[in-house]
This record gives sequence, C-alpha cells and structure tokens, in this order.
Amino acid sequence: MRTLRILLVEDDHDHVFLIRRALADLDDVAVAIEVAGDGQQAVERLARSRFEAGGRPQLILLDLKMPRMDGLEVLRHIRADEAARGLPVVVLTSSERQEDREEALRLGASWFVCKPTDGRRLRSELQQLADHWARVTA
Amino acid sequence: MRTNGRQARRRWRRGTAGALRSEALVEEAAAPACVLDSHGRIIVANHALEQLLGVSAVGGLRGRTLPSLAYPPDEELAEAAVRQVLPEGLDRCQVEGRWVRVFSRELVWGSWDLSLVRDRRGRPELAIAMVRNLTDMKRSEHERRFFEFMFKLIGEADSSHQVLTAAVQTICHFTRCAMGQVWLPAGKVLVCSPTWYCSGYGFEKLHAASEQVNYELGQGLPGLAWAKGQPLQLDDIRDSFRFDRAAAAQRAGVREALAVPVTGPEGVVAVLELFVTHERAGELGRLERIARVAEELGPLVERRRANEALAASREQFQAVTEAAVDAIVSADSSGRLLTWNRGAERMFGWAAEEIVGRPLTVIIPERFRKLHTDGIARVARTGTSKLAGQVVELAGLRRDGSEFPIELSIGSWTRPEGLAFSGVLRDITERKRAEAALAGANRELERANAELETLVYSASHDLKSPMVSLLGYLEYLRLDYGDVLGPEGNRYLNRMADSTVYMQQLLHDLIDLSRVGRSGVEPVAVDLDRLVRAIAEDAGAANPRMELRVGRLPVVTGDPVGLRQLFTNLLENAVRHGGRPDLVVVVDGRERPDGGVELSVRDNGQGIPPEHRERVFGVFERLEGPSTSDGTGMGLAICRKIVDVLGGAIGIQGDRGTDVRIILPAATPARWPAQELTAGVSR
Repeated sequence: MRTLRILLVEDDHDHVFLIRRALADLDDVAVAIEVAGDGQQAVERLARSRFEAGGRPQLILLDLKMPRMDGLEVLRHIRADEAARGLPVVVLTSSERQEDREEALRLGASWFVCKPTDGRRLRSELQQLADHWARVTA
Repeated sequence: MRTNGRQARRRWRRGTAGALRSEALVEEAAAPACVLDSHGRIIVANHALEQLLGVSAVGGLRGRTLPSLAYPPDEELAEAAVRQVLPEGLDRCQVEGRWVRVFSRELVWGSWDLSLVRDRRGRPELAIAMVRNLTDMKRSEHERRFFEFMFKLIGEADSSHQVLTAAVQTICHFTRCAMGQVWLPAGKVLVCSPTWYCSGYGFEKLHAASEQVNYELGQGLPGLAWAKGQPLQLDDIRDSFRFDRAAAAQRAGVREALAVPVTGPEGVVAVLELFVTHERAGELGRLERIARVAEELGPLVERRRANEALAASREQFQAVTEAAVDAIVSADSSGRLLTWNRGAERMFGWAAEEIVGRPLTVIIPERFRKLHTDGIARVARTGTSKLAGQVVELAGLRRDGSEFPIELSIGSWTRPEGLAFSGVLRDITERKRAEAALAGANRELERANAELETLVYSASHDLKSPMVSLLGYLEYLRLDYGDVLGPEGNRYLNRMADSTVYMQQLLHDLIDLSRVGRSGVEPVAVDLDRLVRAIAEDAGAANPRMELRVGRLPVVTGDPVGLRQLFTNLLENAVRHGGRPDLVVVVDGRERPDGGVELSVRDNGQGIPPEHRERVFGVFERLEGPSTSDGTGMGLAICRKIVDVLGGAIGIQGDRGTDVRIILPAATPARWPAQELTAGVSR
C-alpha cells in the first residue's frame, strides 16, 4: 500500500482528531499526517521540508480560519514559493461564504472539502481525494 | 302796482292830508312798506311787502296787525314796538324778528322800521313801516352756524360712528327734523345703527321698527337712497305702499321722511334718515340743506373710517407681533431697522428704542456682514431680493456678542420711500441641538445594530466549529462503541445527534439572517421562472406525492442568492407545514398597476390562522412547539428580510391553505415572459 503524506493545517484539535480518524481507514491508501497548528507553522514546515527528501508533504489540507496566519495567506505563500508551487492544496471550509471560496480558488486552491457534518461524508470526500491522488501519481 | 296805488287812493280819499301823503310815499317805495293806523292796523301795504309776506291778493294785508304776522315767539316783540310808537308817541322804533308768510307759513326775517306821523295837533295819527328783508342774510348766517356747529361736533367726535351721530343730531336741530337715525351698509343690506336722535317723545317705536328691518339695494326709503345715491323726500308717509314703517311713524306724528346718502369717494358710507312732524312739514329747501351738509360729511366719514381701519390693523399687527415668540423686524431698503418687536428684544438683547434706525448689521456676525451689504446693494440696484419669500438658515449675533443659529424668512413690500423688508427670525438653537442629538442617536443605533449583527454572525460562526466536532465525535462514538452502549445507549446517542443537527441548522439560519443585506452583492437579472422550477424539481423529488405548479414568473433584478433562499424557504415551508402528502403548491406572479411585481406561493394545506399571520415572520417563531416539527422557525424571518432588502413587502393571505404574497416595487425592473406559461412541474 502506498503512503500519502499529508500536511494538515488546522488549529482546532478536535477537527484534527476527527480528520485523522476519517483518514485512518481509507481504502487502498495509507496516510501519514503531519499537523501544523496555524498558518505560520505550516509555512515554516514547508520551508524546512525543502531540504528533507522524502519528508515533503504530497497534499495539503488547509483550514481557512486560523490565528496568526489564516488559510488564504498560507495559500498565497505556497503559490509564491518555487518549490511548493505544484502542491495540491485542498481547502477545508465550514464557511459557505462565496467570497472566501472565490478568493481561495483565485489563489490556487485545488479542491474544497466541507468541514464534516458527518464522518461518512468527510471520509468519502477524502477517499475521492486519495483516489485522485493515486491516479495522478501512479 | 300802479293799479294798486290808484285803488288805494280812491278808497282812502276821505283821509287826512298826512295820511294821503303817507300812502303815496308807501306806494311809491320800492322796499316793502306799509302804513299803520293809530290802532296799529295796516291801512295800506305796497306790493313788495305783500310779496314778502306771501299774500297773493291785493290788499290781503289790510286790517292785519304786526303781532298777528309775527312768528309766535316774536309776537310780543312786535306788539311792544307798535305800542311804543303809536299810543306812546315814540317817533321811531325798529323791530327785528321772524314773520310768518300768510299762506305758505314759511318764516321770513324782517326788520321793521316804524316812523310816527302826527296830525296837525301833533297827536300820533299813523305810522309808516319800512321793512327790510333779512331772510337771506339770516338764513345764510343760520346756515353758517349750522355748518360751524356740525364741524365742531365732528371735530370732537372720536370715531366715524360718532361723526354720523353728531351729524344727525345737528341736522335735526338746524332743519327742525323731529327724529334722525343712521343706516349703515353691511354687505348687501342696510342696517339701522342703534344710535339715533330725537327731539320730543314717541319715536322709540319708530326706531325699534327700523332696527327690525334690513333693506337691500333699492328697497324701502333708505335702500332707495342708497341705490340712487341721491337724497329723497317722502312728503306724506301715510302711504304705506311707499313707506313700510308708516304705522310706527304715524303714531309718532311724523308727516315727512327724508333719506340722504352720505357719499365718499368710495361710494355710500351711510344713509341718514330724518323724520319731520306735521307742524314742521313742508318747509322748503330742507332736503337741499341736509344734502349740502351730507356732501361735506361723506369724505370726512370715509377718511375717518380709513384711519380707524388702519389703526385697527396696526393694532392687530402690533398685538400679533408683540405676542410672537419669534423676532419680527422690518428694515428699509438701505438695511436700516424700522420695527423691532418684543420677541426680537428677547432674542437679541436690544430694546426697540435702542436699535430702531440702526443698520441691520448690528445683529449679523462680522463674517457675514459683507454678504449682507452686498445683498442690500444688489436690492437697491435691481429692486428685488433673492431672499424674499424664502426661508434660510443663518447665524444671528446677540448684544453680548454670542452667536446662535436662526431661521429667517423674508418678505418685502413697497413703501412710498422705496422697498422695505420684513423678517421673521426664529432661534433654532434647540432644534439644531435636537437634530444633532437625533443624528447622533441614529448613528449610534446603526452602529449598535451593525455590531449586533456582526456579533450574531461571528458568534454563530464560532459556534459552528465546535458543533462540527460534536457531530464528528458522536458519529465515531456510534461507529466505534455502538455495540457496547446497547439499544438504550444508542437511542440516547441518536437524540444527541438530532439535537446537535437541529442546533447546527439554527446556527446556519442565524448566519443566513444576519448575512442578508450585508454582503453587498450587485443586483443582477434573475430569471425567477428558471429559479423556481429548479427549486421545485428538488422539492418534488423529495416529496413524490406533492404537486407543484409554476405559473408565469418574471425576470427581476436582485440578489440571486437571496431570491433562491426566498423561494427555497417558502417551498420548504409549504411542504413542511402543509399537513398532507398530496399537497398542491402553486407559484405564479402578476404585474401590479403601479409597475411592481406581485408573486404568490400558495398551497391547499392546513393554512395559518389569521391571528398568527404576522407572528410567523418573527425570528424563532413556529406555530407548533420545537419538538413537533422540524425547521428552526427562522425561515419566514429570513424571507421577510430578503424582501425588505429588495424594498418590497411580504404577507400571508388565503382562506383555504396558505397564500404567501410578495410585492416587489416597480424599482425592481421586471421583464415578463411573452406568453403565459402554465405548464407546471408536477409529479
């Protein structure tokens, strides 16, 4: 089974736990999750990972509302960074605000996943993501 | 004359030489003259005297005595004069008095100069009387006194009314009328003034009868004089056809009635009515004399009235301006103050006597003075004022140097000296303060409202995140430990999950509600037909037995998200509260006469009782308790807010089922489909 390295950028511990839980039993894919507690940490982690072969995340799950540096700011950093530019970024959102979504898309978000209203839905969305990733990287 | 002389000579042939000489002398005289015998009886009178005393037949005076010809009050005087000459032997005596013309009973003034003629023995034989007619002189003197007296009274009168009263009194006195009263025009009729004059008794009933009637133009004696503008005389009032107050007048002994209009330049100001009793009736020239006086009277009364009216209006103006809280001032065209009321004194701290005559700039703050003087100069140049008739807000300067806001309205009028202005100034300090306070309060309210909405929005938003966690944990609790909890535990779990989902829905709706109108979305054209059909299809799919019909719907301009939410909420409500699975819901629209749009979402469900039709639009309002049906009770509140933002109105009608009507204003441009589409989405 292949392992998908994910950087989860999320300040809410409960959400981190629930997303971990949902990703734990995806079919056909093993997931290695690294968590950044806010946007600042995420940017630092990405900068460090440039020098760690094999440690680099393959997918970023990014919350929008965070202290210190919010998700949109992180997106802007990623797209400005030569090395990280190609990374797929999936925006996690509980916000229905059209402006936030449009802004995220404009800044280069790859996909949206709604914050789980129930575990099954989150799992199925993440499963789709993983499958997509598997196809793209196969 | 010659015939007269001859006949007389023949008749008195037997007389003495003295008598004959005297007779000849009298007959030759051009002036009125006569010869009296020793008993004072007229032997011969010449033609001039006959004429003076109104005797038409020759010799008509023969045998008469002087006292019998005298006006009764002067009788004694005449008798004394004759006695002094004839029995007592005084050579000459003069008597001046009034004499009554024999037939017409008119008065004449005459001065009789009696000269004694003695016989040979020196005894008084007869007297020659030479008469000087003083009537014209006396009359003109009388008339002069009449006028003098009249003008003296008028001069002493305080009002136009008193002038007329004095005139009536004087006229009665000098023209020997028994009673006089004044008729005054009042609109279309003449009314009898309550003041009147009479000499003698018994006229009260006549005056009372006069006060009872009003005469229109041309009616009755006064009305006729009013209409003609000429003096009229009724010689005999007994003719009740010509004089309607004849009964009352007759009882008072009245014979003649006279009506004399008093006419000023503006027309008849009054009609004087005068009554003459039997004994004084028939005096020649009375009407003319009265008319002459009335002629003088008219302009006097009119001028007096004009002054009175002016004084009254001045007084009224004074009373109004003095009582006013506002400052009322006037100034001439050079900006010099003419008047200054009590309100102005209070407002600016200047007393009228200190400031009248000074330039208006005294009450204008320094920085506005140039504007003011420029304005005055412009007015002087053009003759008109820009500000006249307008209300402007300016600043005023008090005596103590403080400024305050004023509202000024200016009027102008033309005086003989040139243009003048009146200004009404109102101290609007309080109003300004209140306006500022209100604006401040409004701003504060808006800010508080916005803050509250932001708070609701962010609080709901922040609550969303833990809600997501809660739901997640519940899910995994069921997944991972469901077996351990057993059926009862699982039931609890489900109740927790349901409640959490409901809470999440509430949050969701709260966010929607606070977001309506916040997002500032540019309005775009929204095809309601397409929009409603899409929603109806979704709703229909979830409720297979329900029937949904979509009628004719326009394209309107608005927020597409809001409009989608509006119809989604309304259709969901219909389905949720319809109370029957085979519900029929109809959505259609029509144009309103005012150019607006009226939309209707109606169903044949259980409906909403009229008393609750307003309440359901409140936040968290549901007719059933929270446990009996799903939904948060905020759907219609959101709908109302969406419609409010569009400037429209929403309400519930319907006798059977619920009929939600939405009215969008004409300002929401609507385009209607060319033909009516009745094909519905039905299942």
